[in-house]
Amino acid sequence: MNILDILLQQSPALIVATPLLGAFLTPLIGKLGYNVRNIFIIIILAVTAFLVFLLASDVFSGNIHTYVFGGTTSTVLSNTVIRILFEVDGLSIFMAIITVILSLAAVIYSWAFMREETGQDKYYTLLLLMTTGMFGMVLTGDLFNFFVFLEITSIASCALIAFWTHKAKAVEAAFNYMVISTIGALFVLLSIAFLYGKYDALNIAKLASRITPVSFSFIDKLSLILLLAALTMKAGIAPMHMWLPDAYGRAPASISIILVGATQASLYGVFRICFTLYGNVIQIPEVSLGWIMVILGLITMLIGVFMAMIQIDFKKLIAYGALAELGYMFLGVGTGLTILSNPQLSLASNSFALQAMKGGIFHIINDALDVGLLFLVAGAVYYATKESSLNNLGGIARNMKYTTVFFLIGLLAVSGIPPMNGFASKLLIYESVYQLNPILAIIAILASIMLLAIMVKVFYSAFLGPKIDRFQDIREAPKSMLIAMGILASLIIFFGLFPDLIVNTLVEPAVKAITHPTSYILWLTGGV
Amino acid sequence: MFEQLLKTFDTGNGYWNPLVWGFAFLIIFLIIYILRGRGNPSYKRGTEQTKVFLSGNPEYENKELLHVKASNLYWGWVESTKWVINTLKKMHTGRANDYILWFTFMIAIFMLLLGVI
Amino acid sequence: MMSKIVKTIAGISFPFITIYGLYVIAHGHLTPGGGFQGGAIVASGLILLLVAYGTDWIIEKIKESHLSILESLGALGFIGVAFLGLIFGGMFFTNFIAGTSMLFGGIPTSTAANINTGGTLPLMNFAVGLKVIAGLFAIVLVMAYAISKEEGE
Repeated sequence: MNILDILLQQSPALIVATPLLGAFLTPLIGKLGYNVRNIFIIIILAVTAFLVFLLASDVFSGNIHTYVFGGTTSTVLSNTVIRILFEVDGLSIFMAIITVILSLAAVIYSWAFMREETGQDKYYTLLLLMTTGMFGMVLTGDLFNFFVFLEITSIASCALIAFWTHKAKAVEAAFNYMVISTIGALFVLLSIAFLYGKYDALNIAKLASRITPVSFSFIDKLSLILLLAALTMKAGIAPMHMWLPDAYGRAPASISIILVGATQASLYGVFRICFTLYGNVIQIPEVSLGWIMVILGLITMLIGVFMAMIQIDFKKLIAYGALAELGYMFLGVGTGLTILSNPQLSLASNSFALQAMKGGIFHIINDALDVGLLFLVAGAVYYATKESSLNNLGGIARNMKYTTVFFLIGLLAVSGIPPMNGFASKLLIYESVYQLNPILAIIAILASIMLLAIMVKVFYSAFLGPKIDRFQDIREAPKSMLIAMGILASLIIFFGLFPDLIVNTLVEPAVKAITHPTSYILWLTGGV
Repeated sequence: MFEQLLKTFDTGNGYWNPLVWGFAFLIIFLIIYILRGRGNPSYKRGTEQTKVFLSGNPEYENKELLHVKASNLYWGWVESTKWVINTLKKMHTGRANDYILWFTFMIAIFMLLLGVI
Repeated sequence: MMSKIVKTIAGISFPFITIYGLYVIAHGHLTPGGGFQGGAIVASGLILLLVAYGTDWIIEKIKESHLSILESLGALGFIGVAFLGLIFGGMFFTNFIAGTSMLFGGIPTSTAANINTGGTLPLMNFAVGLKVIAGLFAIVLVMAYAISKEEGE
């Protein structure tokens, strides 16, 4: 057994443990100096990235990985599942890849962006803790464990949103986020307690195998509603999205980008619950979540673009844009769920359900890259000009050439213009949603056009225009920030130019994992 | 491997190949470039012909004033959709109490839709 | 800064509170409580001293940065034990001490409480206890210091 095999076997635990170890070591390493600490953190995340890709290479070949904490073997011995257990399938590892890309970009970006701040040891500790929480949320196979990691993510991100404590609005946004996430998490806990009381299990696969059409009753419905409501709120779906633009807009840019990942981890929770936990009862007509998801997606999209139209604050505007993007994911996956949960529809319509799911899932990673890049650009503009209001900006393209190019790439990608990555996933969504109902596709395209108009407005008012005396001497963003933006921009172009490769290698296993809950369940419970 | 990269992306009902698109873009760009090259080269420098045209208004001395501010962009659109935007603005109060109210409201909606109550 | 009576009583009761807290930490795997609860008790003893003797007196003795190092060490101890489980037991968090002749390695034979059991659990309780003592006290210390500065101005 060579070292790679051992690492692969241990990787689900190590992916969570490495950033956790890094988080606790950071205050000690921080005493050694600025550069040592930052290099240490980048190494920690690079090791995590290596482990994620190692695990991904194996999961994408069709295996599901389980890991038993504190056990003596990595597989589950008997039918009773009492230990904390990680179960990694295609969707989990897909989300983990997003998390690792975003956190690496954020840390590289922070090198220069956070240079002048005090309390950086705590900043990096919390950043790594937040990453740990996100990894835990997406990799865990245990519902209570999911709640614990949800709380870790919320607490760490709440402190990070309020990192600029001298700004009253940042503190207010963090307070609102804290209230929202605490209440949401408590509802999650309540419904976990309901399920535990009824089915005597906390493991997702175990619970899913016990929730059958026969046993389905009032309690199951109630917990489904509470889980769904709390997690959609944490994912920022309208009309429970109001905390999101504040939190995204007021946090430092390097934190906003990780917050994108944190909301998507909650979105993963929604999908996992709808498709896997309630996978056996998906065809009960009362559990008609598909149309609810579609309509919520549409509302999110429209509110996002309408509110973005009138925003003056650079980062808040992008935050509303991110909200609209969330709507697309919900629309795509909701369409898939609508068709899959309808037993009357033929197999032929299943193919476009799969296309819709592919579009929705593919859009998750595209959104993370696009919106992440735009946030980083907004942070770079703020870093150079100390100005966040679009009304006071203008003509900065003269001094910040690379940043302008990166913004242009992000603009094209986020509004779904070929050849960027946003186009491929939006095309998938439009075409498949059109089959369900043409009006849905029309609204989606309309929202996309408005998104383009909004981003063009930002481009015009901030980057173009005549010279402004105040910004005569501003300089291009420092190298580390350019590198972070460059990573995301090159990934956007790569994903855009080779969509077939990405869909086949990354997205297809994720869709397969989510649409075939039985393999997830049977892997653990062994056909019982 | 290389063939895999160049494969056409099948979207179920259609297809999408960025390389073909890029090729088409290049051709269109060339056509535009040729058309642009056929423009009128006999204009006179330094006369009225080369001045900025601002709907007949005189050009400001201070160039900064020429820049249209972000809040003035899309004025017509914002004005005509005022009813939507004002309603939405009223929703975004920024108070945690209202956020929780919306959350409760959504739980109620879910309960109605799923038939719990 | 309080009166002499409060100072004396705080001085007398501080060792008892600390001993009780440490007892709760050490018996975490046998009795109700554990690292967090015991740590909170010890920290409350320290906070009693803080209230009785005033912030400035405490700040001279203990630095906040030292406390945060202790806190990190507590967290590191916890995850370190988990990693040791990976190295010696094969899986993360494996209880590699249980069933061996090491300290805490005993296996309970009757229902009577035996402190020499639990494997890695007592070690983790110690780590958590250290973290909670340092963390809780640091929070209260910083807040008290900030308030005293505000009043001074």
